[in-house]
Amino acid sequence: MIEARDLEKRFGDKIALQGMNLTIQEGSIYGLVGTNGSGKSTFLRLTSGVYYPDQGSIQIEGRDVYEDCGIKDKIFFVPDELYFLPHSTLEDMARFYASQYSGWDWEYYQKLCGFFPISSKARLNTFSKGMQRQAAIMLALSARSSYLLLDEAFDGLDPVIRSAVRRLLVDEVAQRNLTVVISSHNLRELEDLCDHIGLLHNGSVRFSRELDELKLGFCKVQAAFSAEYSAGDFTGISIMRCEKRGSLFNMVVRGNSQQVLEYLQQFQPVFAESLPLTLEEVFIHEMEGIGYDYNSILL
Amino acid sequence: MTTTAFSFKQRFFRLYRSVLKQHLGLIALLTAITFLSFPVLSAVEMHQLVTGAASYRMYGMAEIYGTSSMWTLTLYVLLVPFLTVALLCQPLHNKRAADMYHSIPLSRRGLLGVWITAGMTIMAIPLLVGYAGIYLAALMTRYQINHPSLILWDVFLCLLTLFCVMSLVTLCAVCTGTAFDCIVFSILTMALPTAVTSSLTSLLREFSNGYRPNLGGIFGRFPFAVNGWFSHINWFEGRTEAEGGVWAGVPNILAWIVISCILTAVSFWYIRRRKNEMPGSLVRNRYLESVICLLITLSGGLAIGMSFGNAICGPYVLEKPQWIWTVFFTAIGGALIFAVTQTVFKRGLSLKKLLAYGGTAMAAMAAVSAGLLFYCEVIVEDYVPDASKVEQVSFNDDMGVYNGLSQLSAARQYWDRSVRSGVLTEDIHPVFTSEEGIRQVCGIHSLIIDDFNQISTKGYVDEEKYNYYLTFFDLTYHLKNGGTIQRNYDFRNCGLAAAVLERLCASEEYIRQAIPLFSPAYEPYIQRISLWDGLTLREEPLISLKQDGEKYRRLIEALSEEFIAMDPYVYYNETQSPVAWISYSYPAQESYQPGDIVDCSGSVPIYASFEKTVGLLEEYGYGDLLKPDFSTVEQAVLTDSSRFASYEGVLGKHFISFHNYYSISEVRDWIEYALESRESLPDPDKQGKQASYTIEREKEPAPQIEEVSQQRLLELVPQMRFSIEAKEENQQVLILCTEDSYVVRFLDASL
Repeated sequence: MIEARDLEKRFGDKIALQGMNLTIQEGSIYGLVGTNGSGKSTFLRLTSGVYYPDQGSIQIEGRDVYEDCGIKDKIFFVPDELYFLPHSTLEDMARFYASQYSGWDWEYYQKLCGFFPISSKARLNTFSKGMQRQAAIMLALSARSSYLLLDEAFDGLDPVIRSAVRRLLVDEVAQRNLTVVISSHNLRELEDLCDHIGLLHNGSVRFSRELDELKLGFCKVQAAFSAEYSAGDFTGISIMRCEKRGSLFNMVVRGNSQQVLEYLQQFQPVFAESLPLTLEEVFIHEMEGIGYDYNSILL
Repeated sequence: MTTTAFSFKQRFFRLYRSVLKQHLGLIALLTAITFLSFPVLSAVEMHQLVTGAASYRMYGMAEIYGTSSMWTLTLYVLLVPFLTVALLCQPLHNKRAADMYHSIPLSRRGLLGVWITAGMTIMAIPLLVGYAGIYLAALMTRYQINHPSLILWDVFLCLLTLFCVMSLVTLCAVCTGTAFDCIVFSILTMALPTAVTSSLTSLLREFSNGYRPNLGGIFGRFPFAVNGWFSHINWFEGRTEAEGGVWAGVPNILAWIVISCILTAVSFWYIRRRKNEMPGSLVRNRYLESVICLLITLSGGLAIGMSFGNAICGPYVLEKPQWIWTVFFTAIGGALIFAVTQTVFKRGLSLKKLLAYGGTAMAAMAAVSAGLLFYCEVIVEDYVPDASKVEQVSFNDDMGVYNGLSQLSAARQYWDRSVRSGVLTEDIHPVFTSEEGIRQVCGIHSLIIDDFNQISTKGYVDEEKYNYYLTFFDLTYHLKNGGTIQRNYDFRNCGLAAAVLERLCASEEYIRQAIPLFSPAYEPYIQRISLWDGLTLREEPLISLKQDGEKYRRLIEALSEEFIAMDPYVYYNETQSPVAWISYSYPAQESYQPGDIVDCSGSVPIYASFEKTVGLLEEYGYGDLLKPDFSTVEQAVLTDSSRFASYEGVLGKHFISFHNYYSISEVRDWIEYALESRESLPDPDKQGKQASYTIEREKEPAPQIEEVSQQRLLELVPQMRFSIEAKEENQQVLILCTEDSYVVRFLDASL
């Protein structure tokens, strides 16, 4: 379990994280979303022991991460800007990590080499950004760590590889209870992968919930009425957003879709149905709910 | 799957091997460069030395470094740590590398340990190959290494220096966020101790006469001071420590080890606290930055202050206006340098901060410089120790001349191991321990200070009195409380210098130490001793007399008593001509041990007034030498040419040149030319004949010259002198030629 308590990190006068409290359960795939500069990368660096917190604590399995080689042996961090040893090949990097991570699995590495379309003998600095990212993910998975911290992990990957990586991560979680923390601006990507989502803004967690729970809190309803109504007539439900085109209403409503549809029946709709809600829409409405202009927060 | 976690040791050595493997190319490159620039270059120098094609001084304990290879190796020791640290400690300066290295399961201290160990290995391998190569080079060129096992010392000292430099660069790497800052801070840290020492020393020396602060003793031990670059080569050669013999370098070595270990320990301590957001940023350790900034401001401000002070008031005029100007420009210079340094360090500064920093620095530098000058003037310059608190004092000067002879050269002591270029020696300074002697030296010290104070207000204006001939007086007081006070004066006042020496020469305590002949301690070293007549034309060895101890001691005791008892004015001003001389020396030995006497020579005049000495010499059968005898003189001339006199104005006098630069045939040729020129002034027909003599004479006007008969010579004996007042006109020079030598004397015109 990853646990941050009153975590604070400053860079000179700038506050990157302040009073951050977050718990990430083992075996979960946790998605970190947030605006640029919200503190996602800083949190991952603190979690991997690269940074030392100015205040508060970041613990994994009840131990402070910083300078604890025992716990760091269980963490693999893939930063947003990758670094490989000068003039090294994938093979060289594998040997380097194998010398440091006690869980390194050469068999699994060989398997991944056959899976990903990159050469293990070629110099990594000749690779494209996406290929370097593939190499980093291969190394990260081969280390067989218990906690995998991925900063913008899918950046530069083509759709086929993205899908493959998603599947690999899910398999790892299922097979050996791997905990994955992944930061991204791509909410659709996270929606397909994560079971938990946390939103960071201005250095603190705005909310952290299970994805299903998050989606259950809202519903999207489309309905048409023979009589003339306005949004103000539906007082029995909490409408977050309402668009009316002729007699057709598109509404995002807080609450359970079943209950909302039942409520609308009393207005004798021509038809009323519930539509799937995307994570992006959930976030937009959640942020609106707490008074943020989503256009400035979400991409 | 069950796995066992790696231990720290496993991770450490695995990473160490990985780092070495990554840098195999660098090791190969360094080895090639080192091999060419050290053993190959040294081999060339060894070959030249062995074949006699060139004369090299070889350095180091094993004497394996040639003049060129010493430089190249020193450059290696200086530059390679920068390169190695920059490459290995990249994660300290590269954000992406920091992410990778600090997320792996090895502690920061472990990482630093790997970098330092691997760095030393990378740097040491080429050196070890080089030293192995030098051994082979010596075998191939048949060069005799001082002692082969001493190569190990040289290896150790070289590696130690490498470690010292690396420890500093590593600390700077840990304290800075970019490789550029690391290099700049390392260079500054290395150079600043020397810069600060130089500035402070210059200031203290300029504003406090005689005071020579031994700041080099403090900062010289700092391994990275520029003057310490060659220390790894010179440690045991006495070049960093003039005293203490072979082991003189040990304190420096220990100091270097301690300092390096402290710096390394600080690096290990700090890396754990180092903020990892530093890589790639301008964030630096604020303490290091502050110290660097302070030292730059101090040394730069003082240098600017003194330069402008001298420019406005001129050197050697230590009047109060110069103080004011020096303080003023030190404050201005310090403020400017501080502001510039801050602007560079912070990559720009607002005007408000610039003014605030500059103003603070100005006030601080004004206070510092005024404080230092106050210290110079009030505490140091006019201070003469209370004679009652002095246990002993040594006094020497480098002039030590009376009557043109070196009287006060004392004995010389061997203080260093043999080097191929010669023997390094040091004067044994006379030491005063008696109450009277100490009081006398304190009095002389006061006299010197008074004279300097007069110069401070008047400047050097009296051309006749101050003839700009420099002499150096060194005074070393050992106080009863264990303290030591040293003063060293560059003295220009020749009149006063003569008076000081006259006072000293009146002291028995001084004379017995300054003239080794009079000291029983040096008797075994006097292995050649002769009696010369007053004109130094005839010599009679006294060695058989010396072997008869009793007679010899009676003679020397009588001579020393009479010499000490006489008025020093007589031999300083040559109011009498000696009737004889005793000269003595200690021939060079094949080898010496530290502390051995190397040189023990001099000449002592015997005057007619030394009745006891003269009586003993007559009794021992040397009476003939005490009378003038010109029977061997084949030619004697009197001339106004000063060709054979020295032009150096020691004590305001001219001296006969004792070193017979010219051969007797050249002198005879010159006399012949001069005599012919007297009869007929040079005409074109004489050109061919004139060109036949070898002494360059074209620039010299035709001299006045006359031949002197032997009868006339006897009359001139009382007038014969070794020196003459420089301002005296119509100097008459007497030249006496025997069959195979010649003697030159001034004639005292006043008689």
